[in-house]
Order: sequence, then structure tokens, then C-alpha cells
Amino acid sequence: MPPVVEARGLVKRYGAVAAVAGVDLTVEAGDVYGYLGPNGAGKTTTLRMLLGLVRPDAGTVRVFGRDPVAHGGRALDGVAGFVEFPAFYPYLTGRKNLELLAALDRGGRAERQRIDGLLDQVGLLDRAGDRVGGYSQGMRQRLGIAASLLRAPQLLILDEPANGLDPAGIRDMRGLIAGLAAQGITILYSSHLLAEVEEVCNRVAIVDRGRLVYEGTIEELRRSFGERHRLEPSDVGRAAAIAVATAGIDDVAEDGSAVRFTAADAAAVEALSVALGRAGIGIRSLGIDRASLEDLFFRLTDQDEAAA
Amino acid sequence: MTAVVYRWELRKLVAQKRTYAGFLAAAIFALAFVLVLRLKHNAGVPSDIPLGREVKHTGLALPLVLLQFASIFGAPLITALVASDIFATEHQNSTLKTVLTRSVGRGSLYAGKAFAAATYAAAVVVTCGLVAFVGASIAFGLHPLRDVRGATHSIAGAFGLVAAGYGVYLLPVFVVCAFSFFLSVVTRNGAAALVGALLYALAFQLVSALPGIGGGKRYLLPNQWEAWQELFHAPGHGGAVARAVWLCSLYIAIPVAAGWLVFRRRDVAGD
Repeated sequence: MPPVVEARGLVKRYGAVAAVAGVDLTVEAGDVYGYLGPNGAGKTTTLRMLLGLVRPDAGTVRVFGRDPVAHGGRALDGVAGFVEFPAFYPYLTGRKNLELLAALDRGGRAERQRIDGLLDQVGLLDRAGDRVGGYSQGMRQRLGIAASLLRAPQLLILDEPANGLDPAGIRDMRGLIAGLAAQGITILYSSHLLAEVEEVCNRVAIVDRGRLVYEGTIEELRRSFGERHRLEPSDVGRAAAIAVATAGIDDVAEDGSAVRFTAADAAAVEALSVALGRAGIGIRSLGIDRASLEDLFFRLTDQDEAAA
Repeated sequence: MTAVVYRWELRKLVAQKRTYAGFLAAAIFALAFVLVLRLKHNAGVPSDIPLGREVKHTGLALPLVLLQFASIFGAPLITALVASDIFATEHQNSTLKTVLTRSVGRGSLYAGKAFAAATYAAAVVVTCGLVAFVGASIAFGLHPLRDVRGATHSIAGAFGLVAAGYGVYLLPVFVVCAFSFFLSVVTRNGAAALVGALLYALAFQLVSALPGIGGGKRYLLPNQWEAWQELFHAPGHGGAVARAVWLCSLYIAIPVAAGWLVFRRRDVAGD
């Protein structure tokens, strides 16, 4: 079974600028795949290529094994979502916009009957009869989600879906994505909200200046940077000195009331704790210092910048 | 799928205010003629225009006389109103990406929009004619029509001829509409497409007025605006009408095909 999304060597140039410079992506069925990068990194351009909106200058795209550029709308069967922001006809009501999109999906009465349910699901049923021109950005985001779900997708591509949503809306969005993922829908989630991605995604790709700098799980990314430990002792200075002297303990750094270090193995950590006890230094806490996705993201992109 | 796009394009037009501006302008244009002719008894009957002498004798004449006046500016303006905007507004609202990520191909979208623009152009012209017909019939009565050769046509027969005349007149209307549609695709700017279409129609008028054009005039757009008159001069000969059919088809096909070549490969980025 081919991957849901498979991109190889994607390149897109606008004049002298390479918006996307050789990106490879593999999204497997059931993934909640985070696509991360700073503004201008080429995320949206990549998504446009996946949806057949933009022709790559080089490379190939397959979505469910089909080429969206060559096959147009037919290649997007089972695919829904939006790029940059969901856009609708401002002079039509929310409901009419969805009816139009259902018609363009060759939907019949069954699809039209689902519309009110979807509007209710995204909290827009009471505003469904209003023109979209009067909707807030958050309401348009919600309508964009409803429009995507109208296609009963197997792959959902969401570009910054939390934009314009209030905290409650973001929480609802997170819940919705988790619910859809639980139903087996593959989700490609592009965002700059790293905490959101960390919360909902099982795999991520990080792109910087058009190039892919990482693809894999967040845990693998953590491991690639080495696991650090965080110790809160009663005496930071002495504890740091003991850590430096302990075999298997490296990269010792004082950080306020804590000492951070890497350990070769669990035995090295045990040896350190024993040594601290013998020196009469109390241990308030000792544990693995889990780097947030944000830390990892900046380490990766900083590395990339330094390399450039 | 083209039919689905077409139906929804019409529904979208119905939901927009600017759609009605064209109909309103067409109706006002027709009513203004009726009122002027009715109120000013000494108003010059446009006798130099085919059927001009008949405008105060029957309501069937004015719709045809109006065509002559509308050709230079009014018809191109009103018919280009929607065609110039039908693609540009998708760019303005960033909705191309929305529709192109559904199950509709670019070809169906393009064709559906082209047919909708043409339908609107035809509807506006027909509205103008109907308003003129009803208004003039109320003002001057509904009687048989005497054509340019002096032959008299019954009301029903004349109505059929008027309808046929409008059918022929729609050919150059579609030419302007097609060019405006092309500009809407290429420029992504409704105002530029509208102005461009008007300049296109006016340029033909200017070229047609150049000395030394001679027989070439018959292949220019201004002559096609007048092709309907053949129905009232020498019906059955069909020279001008037949020429209008093939020539306008050519004038329509070229911009429509060119627009398609641009649209089918266009990157939808930021639209």
C-alpha cells in the first residue's frame, strides 16, 4: 500500500528564490503529521503542490498514489483541507457556500443533508444563514473545517487551522483533530504553533528556507539531540563540581537552581546521586529534561542557519 | 460537471448586486428612449437608421433601433460587466483554491464560467429588448411592422424577425464578452478587464473608420453589430448573417482558447 502522501525532490522557484528546494515527505495512513517551519519556509507552497494548485519545477507528488498536477480534481478524491486560510464567497451564506462545495464534489441530497450537522459540529449552525462576508476570521476557519469534513476525507490537509481561533476554539480544534485521527483519518497539519503540533501529531517534518531539515517522530528528534537530565540540588555549585567528576556524566551546566547534564547510561546517574548523598547534598528533584518541540525546532533551525 | 459549475455560477450571479446593475442599466437605457420619443412629439425620429421611421408606429421597431445605438458603447460595457469580473473576483476572494481542491477540474470550471458570462450578456441584451418592446408597445401601440423594403410583416411575423435580429446581434455581443472573459483570466483584475474590453470594441470602431480599409471592413467587428439588418433588407440571402456567424465564432474562439491555455497551467498561489 503506497503512502498517503509521497513527495520526492519537490522544487518550486519564484524567480531567483527557491520557495521549496528539494523537499521529500512521506505521510503514512493514520499519521497525524505536523509540518513545521518558520514563516516563508515554504510550507504553504508545498501544500499547494500536494493539492495540485501549484506545479512543481522539479520532483514528484503522489497523493494516494495519484499525481494531483496531472489528474487535477480526480486525484484529490478522499482529500480535503485548505491552504493559507479557508476562502469562501462573501456574498453567499455559510450554508450556501457549503451547498456549492457539495455540488462541486458531485454530492447529492445525502451530502446536503449533512451540511447542518457539520455546521452544528463547528458551532456555526446559528449563523449558517448569514453571509460569509460578515464572518470573523475564526468563524471562517470553522467553516473551512466544515467544508473539509463535507468531503468525508481520508486525508485532511490543514494549514494553520488555529489561526483566528480563541483559546476555546483552539481547544475544540485540538479535540476535533484527535477525534478525526481516532477515526483513522490521516491528517497533515501545518502550523507554527509548536505546542499544538506536539500535542496532536505523532510525526513531524521541519522545513527551513525551503529545505527539509527533519522528518520523523518527535521522540526520535529528541533522541537525536541526546537526552539531558535536570537536577535540583540543595547546593548547585558543589553538585555541579561532583557531576563533572562523576564518570559517564558530561555536558554539565548550571542553570539557575538546577544542574543540567547528559548521562552515558542509568548507572552514571545512579553513581551521581550516591556521590551527592555522600557529600551531604540534598536532591530536590532529578529527572529527564524533556526538550519541548520548540527547543528542538530552534536547535534544528539554528543548526541549519549556522550551516548555511 | 460543467453543468454543475454553470448552474452555480448563475446562482452566484443572482446573489451579487453588480449583476442587477447591468439589468438596471439596460432597462433604463430602453425606457429612456421610449420616454424621449413619447414625450417630445417633435423629437427627431431616427430616420437615417433602418426601421427608424417605424418607431412611433409600432412597439416592434424600437427594440431594433436601440441595437444601433447600443453597439458603440452600451452593449460592450454592459455585457463585459460580468465577464470581466467572473474570474477576477475568484482571485480577489481567493476562492480559486477552494473550488480547485474539490472534485472539479479546471476545464469544467473554465467552461462553466464562460457559459455563465455568455448567459448574462445575452440576458442583459434580451432584457433591454423586452423593456423597449413593452414600453414602446404601451407608448405607440402594437401594430404590424413595415420593413426597409416596404414589406409589411404581421405582429407575430415581425416579432419572430425581431427575435432573430437579436439572435444575430448577440454574436458580436459574445465577441466582446469572450475578450473580456479572456482579460479577466489573464489580468485577474476586473476593472482592467472591463476597460480593456471597451478599448477592444472602440479600437475596432477606429480601425473601421480608417480610410483605405475598403472591403476589409466587412470582417471587422462593427459590421457584425449591423448584420441583423440584413433580415429586414434582403432576408434569405444570408451573406452578412452567415459572415457574422463564422467571423464572430472565430473572434470568440481565439480569446477563449488563449484564456484556457493560460488558466490550465496557472499556479494558484495566493489566489
